[in-house]
Amino acid sequence: MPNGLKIESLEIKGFRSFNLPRKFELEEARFILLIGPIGSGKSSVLKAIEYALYGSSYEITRLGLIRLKHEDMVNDFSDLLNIELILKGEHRVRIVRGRKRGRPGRLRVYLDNMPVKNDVERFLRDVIMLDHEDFLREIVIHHLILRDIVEGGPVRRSIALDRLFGIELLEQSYKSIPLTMVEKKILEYERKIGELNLELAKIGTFHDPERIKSMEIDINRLRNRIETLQREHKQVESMLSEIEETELRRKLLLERYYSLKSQLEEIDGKLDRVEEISTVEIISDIEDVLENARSLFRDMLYEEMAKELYKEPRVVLKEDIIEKLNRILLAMNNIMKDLEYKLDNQLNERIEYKRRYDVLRGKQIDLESEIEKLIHYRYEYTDLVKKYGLPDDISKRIEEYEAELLKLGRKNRQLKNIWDLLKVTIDRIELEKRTKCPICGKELVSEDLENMRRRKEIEEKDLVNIIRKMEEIESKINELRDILNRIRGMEENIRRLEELELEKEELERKITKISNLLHHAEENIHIVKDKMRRARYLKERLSDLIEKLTIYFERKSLLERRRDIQKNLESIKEELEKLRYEESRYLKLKKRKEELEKILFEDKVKLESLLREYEKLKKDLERAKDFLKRKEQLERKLEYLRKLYKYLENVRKLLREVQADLRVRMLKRIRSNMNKTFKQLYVHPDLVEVDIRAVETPKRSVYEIYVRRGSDGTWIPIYSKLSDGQRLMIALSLLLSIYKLYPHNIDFILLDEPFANINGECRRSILKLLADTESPSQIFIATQDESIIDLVKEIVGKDNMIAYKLTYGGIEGPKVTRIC
Amino acid sequence: MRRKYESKLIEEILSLIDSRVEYDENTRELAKTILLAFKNEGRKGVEKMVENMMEGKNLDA
Repeated sequence: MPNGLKIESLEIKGFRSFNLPRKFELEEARFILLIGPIGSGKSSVLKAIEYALYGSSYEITRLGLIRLKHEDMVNDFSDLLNIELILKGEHRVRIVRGRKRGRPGRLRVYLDNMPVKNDVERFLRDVIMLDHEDFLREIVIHHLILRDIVEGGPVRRSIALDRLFGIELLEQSYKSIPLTMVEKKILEYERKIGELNLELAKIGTFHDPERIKSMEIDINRLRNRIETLQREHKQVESMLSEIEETELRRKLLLERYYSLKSQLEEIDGKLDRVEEISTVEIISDIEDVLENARSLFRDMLYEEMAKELYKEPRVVLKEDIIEKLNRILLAMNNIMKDLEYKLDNQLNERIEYKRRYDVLRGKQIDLESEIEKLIHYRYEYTDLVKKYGLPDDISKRIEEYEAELLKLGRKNRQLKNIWDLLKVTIDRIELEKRTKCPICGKELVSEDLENMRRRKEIEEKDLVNIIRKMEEIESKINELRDILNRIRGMEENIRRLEELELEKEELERKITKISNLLHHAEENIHIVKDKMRRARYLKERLSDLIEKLTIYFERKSLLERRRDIQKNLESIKEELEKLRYEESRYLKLKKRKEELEKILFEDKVKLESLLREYEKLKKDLERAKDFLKRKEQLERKLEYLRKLYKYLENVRKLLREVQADLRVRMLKRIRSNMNKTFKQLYVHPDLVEVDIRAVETPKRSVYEIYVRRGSDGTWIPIYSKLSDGQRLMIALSLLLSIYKLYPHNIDFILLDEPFANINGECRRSILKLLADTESPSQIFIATQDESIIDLVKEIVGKDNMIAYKLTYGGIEGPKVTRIC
Repeated sequence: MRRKYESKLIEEILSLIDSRVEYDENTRELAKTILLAFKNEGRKGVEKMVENMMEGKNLDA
């Protein structure tokens, strides 16, 4: 096994404030200084060493409210924690401790580069030979412990020292024993036992078993008596019920007798009121009605119904005949409905035909009046044609007159021109006496004038004749045109007249047809009305017949019922005579029954009271038994609790005694080392020896630290006489003496801020002392004070020290720089 | 009740308890049990243990 293990190197990744990997190469340096401001990661380096060795930290294992989890050790920006610590002694031990977030941690250990395979944790523990708690006490020196020892009051100081010795556990353990809880439980049980005693006192001595036995005998006796009485009561009751049954039967028979009698009278009354009808007469009526109905059905072409009407060859007077007649009546009603429907149809048809006839007649009258208006055109036309000829002839003649008029017009214009020339020529001659002929150019003179005047007169006469002729022809043309127009106008009216005459002929044919239909409809209406009359008559006959039959059968039924009632009356009379009612016996039995009921009631009340008392006694006995059982149980428990209380008291006492023993032992162990260290640290002659004593006070035991004055050899308490620096020296002596209190393989010590409140001289002394001691050979100091570097350099030399400066590095984690 | 790996100090305390022969065996065992219960589970662990004992679940202890 290796001895005196020192740290060769340390690599931290993803642990607390460290995210990216940071490596510390420590070589053979005696002092390793970790310098940096608050929160720069100095303490994390020391905790990384603790975590690598034990896979845990004081912050995880401590009992208290602020307790961290393994997960909290992983850096916030990383999921993987990895610490590699290489220890060097006789052998080289490489420890690799890792943990993934959310997974259990893992440990790998290599001894001289060979991996350890089985139970690695145990192997590691065996190598370092130090438990986690002992490690925290012996290897790690924290400024808070120093502060408590130097500045704390007696209690705080005692707690700090006990913690340092590791025996605070004893005090806490015996203080945690909940004696009050046991006391409370004991009191509760005592109270419960007291309550049970009270309950038992209330029940008293009534739960005597002998009394219960005698009561049971009384109860049985009374029960037997009640049973005998009940048997007798039952017999009497049965006899009474027999007599009562007979009486009841008699009463019922009498009631029935009188009821039947009254029914008989009622039937007689009814028979008087119901008319007697002859069977022969009613059968003949039915046959007649059936024959009529059959005939009607046939007329209505209901051949099937006629056949189904009554199948039996002869009419038999049974109850079902009414039903059959009712069926015929129903059929008759249906026929009536059919006929009414037909009649409605026929009437509607007739109305329709009549309406159509009236319409046609109206049209005929209108046509006749229109024809009347047009007929004179035909006569006039005939006259005009006779007088002027046909329109084509008239047109031809108009054309001839027009040609003639054209010729006369031309002639007229010629004559007019000639006349105009003559007139102009005459006028010129008369005016100028001569002129030239406008036609031939011949010189005309006054002598020609006369000729010309004659000629003019002749021409004038011809012209007048022509004009007159032309006027005559024009007048003829106009007349002929008028005639032609009139004839053509008449032709239109005559065509219209001919159309109307054709229409009138068609209308007359239609009127004749409708008239025939109307006549036919009226005949049908007459036939349907006749059938309806027959059906109505048959219905009335059927209703009468059914009524008669009802009366007939009612009378028959009344007569039958009368016979039955009379028979019943006879049998009731006979039965009444057989039944005998003995009243005296009945009264006697009734009296006995009442007596028995009275006795039974009294006995039952007595029995109930006895039973109640018996049940109460029994219950009291049960309760008393239960109380006694519970009391016994409680007493047993109480005894046990008292025993437990005594045990626990003894345990407290034992643990206190062990604590006191241990304190004495611890003080004895460290006393010589502490004084040796103190003498090295404190170089002044005024204080020569230190002693720590355990002092018992009424409340608790405390530590008092004394120092012997060099001048007079007196022991003086350090808290009232010494300065802070002197007390710190003593405390540091104490802490350093704890190192190797138990033997182990670790050859380094971890000091976390050890120089707070310590002046330069004392710091020098502490460092010198640490440098002079052989063990531990590696000293880690984490401090904010950079001046320590120079001090250490001065005391141990540059080669024996390494200084790392740690600064805040953000997400990546602390920046580590080797500065020395 | 003893753990596999106890610190040297605990070993010493336990052996000191054992050396107190003026107390009977049961008292010494109970003291050791309470000590370890407190060490492992704290005050509540001890209370729970005593409660169980009051209920009679651990009479031998």
